[in-house]
Amino acid sequence: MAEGQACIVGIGETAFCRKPGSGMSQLELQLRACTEALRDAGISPAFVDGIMPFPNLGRAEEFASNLGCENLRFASTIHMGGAAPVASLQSAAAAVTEGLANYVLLPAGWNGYSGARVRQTVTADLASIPGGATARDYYIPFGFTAPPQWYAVIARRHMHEFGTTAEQLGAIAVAMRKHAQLNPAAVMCGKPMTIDDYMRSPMLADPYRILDCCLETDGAAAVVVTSAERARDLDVEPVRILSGASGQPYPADEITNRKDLFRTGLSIAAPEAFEKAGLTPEDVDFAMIYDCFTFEVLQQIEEVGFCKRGEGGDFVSGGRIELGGELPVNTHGGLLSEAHVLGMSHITEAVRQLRGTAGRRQVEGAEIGVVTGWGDFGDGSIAVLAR
Amino acid sequence: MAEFHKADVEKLIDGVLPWPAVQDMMKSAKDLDRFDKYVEILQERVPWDERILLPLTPQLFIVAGDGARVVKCRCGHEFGDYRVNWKLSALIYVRDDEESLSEVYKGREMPDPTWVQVREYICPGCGAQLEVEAVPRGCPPDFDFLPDLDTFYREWLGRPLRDSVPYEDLTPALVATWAQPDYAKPVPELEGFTKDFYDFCRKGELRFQRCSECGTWRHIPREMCAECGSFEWEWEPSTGRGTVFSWTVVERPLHPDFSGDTPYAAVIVEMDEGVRLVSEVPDCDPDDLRIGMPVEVFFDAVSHKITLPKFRPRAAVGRTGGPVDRAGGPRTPMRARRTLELPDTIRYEVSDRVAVVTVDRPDALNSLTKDMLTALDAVFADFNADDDIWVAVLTAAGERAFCTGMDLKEAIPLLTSGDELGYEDHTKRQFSDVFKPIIGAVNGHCIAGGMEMLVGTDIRIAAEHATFGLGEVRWGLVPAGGSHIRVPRQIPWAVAMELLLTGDPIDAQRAYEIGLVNRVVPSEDLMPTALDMAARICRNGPLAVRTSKQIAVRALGLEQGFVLEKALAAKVFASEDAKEGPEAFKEKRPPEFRGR
Repeated sequence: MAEGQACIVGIGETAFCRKPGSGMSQLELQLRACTEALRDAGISPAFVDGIMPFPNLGRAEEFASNLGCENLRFASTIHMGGAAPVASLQSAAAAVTEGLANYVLLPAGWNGYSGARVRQTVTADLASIPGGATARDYYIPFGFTAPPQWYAVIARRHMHEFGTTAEQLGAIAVAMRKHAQLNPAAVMCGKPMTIDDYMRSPMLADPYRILDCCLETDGAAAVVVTSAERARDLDVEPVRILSGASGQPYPADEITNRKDLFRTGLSIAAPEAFEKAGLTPEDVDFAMIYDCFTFEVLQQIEEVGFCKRGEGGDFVSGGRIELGGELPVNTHGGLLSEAHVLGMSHITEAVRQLRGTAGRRQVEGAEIGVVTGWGDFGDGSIAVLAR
Repeated sequence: MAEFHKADVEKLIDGVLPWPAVQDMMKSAKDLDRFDKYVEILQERVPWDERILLPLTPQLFIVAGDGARVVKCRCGHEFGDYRVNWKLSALIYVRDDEESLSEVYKGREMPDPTWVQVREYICPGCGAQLEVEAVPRGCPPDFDFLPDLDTFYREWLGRPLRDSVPYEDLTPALVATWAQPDYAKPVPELEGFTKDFYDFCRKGELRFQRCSECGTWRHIPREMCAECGSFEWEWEPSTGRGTVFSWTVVERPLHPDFSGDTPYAAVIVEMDEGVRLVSEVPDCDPDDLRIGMPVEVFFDAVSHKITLPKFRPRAAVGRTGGPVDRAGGPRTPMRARRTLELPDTIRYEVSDRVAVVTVDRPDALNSLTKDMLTALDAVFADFNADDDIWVAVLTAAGERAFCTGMDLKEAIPLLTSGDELGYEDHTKRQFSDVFKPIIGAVNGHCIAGGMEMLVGTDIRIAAEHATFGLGEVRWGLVPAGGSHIRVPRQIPWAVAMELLLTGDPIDAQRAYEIGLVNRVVPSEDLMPTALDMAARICRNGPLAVRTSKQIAVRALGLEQGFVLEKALAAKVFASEDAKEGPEAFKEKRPPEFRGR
């Protein structure tokens, strides 16, 4: 392993569920995932001197006080919504390689089913996104109130400009569900779905059907990041963070007036991440893509550069993004079929794949994987990971 | 003239001036500066600096605040404009049962709570009891004292106050806003640029920011131009036209306030200027939406404060758009007033400060049902309350009739059974509270209740074929909607009596000769003439116009007459003749009256 590199040395997850809910506070939920991650890494909480909580879901001080992190010296939150965990990975990597911290803990988790529902997050707390005031003053009064509606208008433009079809969006939902059948932790494990089921599912915000939308679940996940040097002393197989990058769409606080509607934060971040890693999208064995809605998967596949813009519809069809396909995507089932853990479970799954511990859903010979995050009005983040 | 020292006045205020001195003071002429001394003392005693204009009670004062005259408590708490009954903003403790009344009244002194309630008005700032009133249950808070401050300062003190305000009880206007149904959906927060944007919408203008340096349009509003870095910009008017850029059809609401609307479409409109905004195209079936579809803005006044810009398909504008000004091309499109729930038979559209109210039931000769009457009242209350509308034109659909009165099928049973058709307040009649000008545009027969409505208007334009009459007596009834009071004051006595007693109609030319209408014009010129008249009034100061009408109307003092009319007419409606008349009308035979 190269000197000066950072790696993920611990992952932890709680159970994911809908009814009847986790039965614990969001903080406790995340603390349990943290405890798991630290146990996985084989370090005691006292070693943790950096914590990067998810925006609006707890403060580093609370985590440190509960866990017993006596030496906290790096506390930071990246305000990019669902792009935050992957963006934090980049910051945590910088922190451990630059000596700002030795071990950085990244928790995320919530009672997304039994507490405030995903669908309500923006209307319940406008400050939760950078464009909150825009939404309040110029979107919500016109019934344009929630993310599936905001993104549906982008999906419609893509369909209009490139002929993307409902069946192609459906192929994404079906692939995620197929993967979830191989993941006992997935909420949708045991509930298979066909493209016909998809096409029959009720419209939510045309062109989005119910089955285009992520789950709302309770659950938490956490990862531990440290330097390659420290990782050598631990009894785990480290997963290297080859590079990370993040970016914002323009303008980031308003969706509708973007000159290029499909250019998101990832459009800026992805080329940077690949360049830093010295790799190209062709080198990637699998991708964990933040799948809040089906079209956002397609859009990110295009913007990362797995295919050209406008070709995403074909790319996601024909099993190409399923296990055994060209680019297996979200082998755990993703937000669509595993659970909505704010993108953190995309990182834990990528780690499992690169450790070779993904069981029945293991991507054969997985060496290099990509994880993306998507947040707010299209903030983007990406990390290139390797075994 | 007697002079009293400030110290004496101070003792007077405190109630410690010896009785002989008080008598002396009462007997002699009032010293000229008594008021000033009095106020000076009060001013010294309050803990704030605003100038006291008039004491209301030992605890309350009218003071000159920031650009307004407000009622202020000694403690500093403000109750708002002095022309609104301050009690409406006080805390109120109500004693309306024996237990609570017995705390202040002993034994037989206690009023009967069946009839009386005692209200204590408490200052929310300091908890002081400001006023107590014992009134019949349900009686509105008594507005004890509304001083005519400007007149007092001008004529009694000889030094007019700056920034005079109309002497007007604004309490009813406040209460009227309470009666308005609340708009239950989320609204923008009117601050900064957002307030500017939506304030323009209130005025019927869609404007976007445009950089003064490089000319780039932008939306949403921002401090500076991202293209050239300039901080200089203007709110420039948009053409109001654009095309559908994208949309989503919301089938399942994710916000509870929109749950009643599904399916509805949230639409992104790309304007001619290049900016895009989120809006709705409510008149278009979501299935008919297409990318590139031309749309045009209209303004939906969802509440007193908020008007939302919405869109309709552009092709549809010609079909449903407003009237065309023959002289000057298309007028600003009329916007329907959607805050009010109106029956299809009453239309209420506003453009360029003019409301056009149309009775739209031509198949029934524009006769009025009780619902329509209620709707007309609601429309004119809205008109009266909206500062942005200055004149109303009242007309009707079709060419045959302006209005032939109440729908007899519905109204006669109601009237003869004592229903007051919503006019429970006998001092009021149609439009008697409306002090903004109403122009009647009479497009045909104006008979019975139609005539009663017309004499509640101010300026009247008639089509050449219009007729006018009060035929009620022919059917053993009387026109109790105010005609007995209004008509003899508007035209000569003898002509008025001819109309009231014979029940015979007159033609438009005669109506013009007797001064019942201002103009007689060919049918096709009716609305242009009425709208032109409205536009001419709109050139004038709205406050002056409104006050002018108010003085003229209130000086007539019609209320007593209205009460008398109601009382005497009730006897007629209860008579046998009042049953015989309408029956004969229905059976198309001459009635047989018996005089009882």
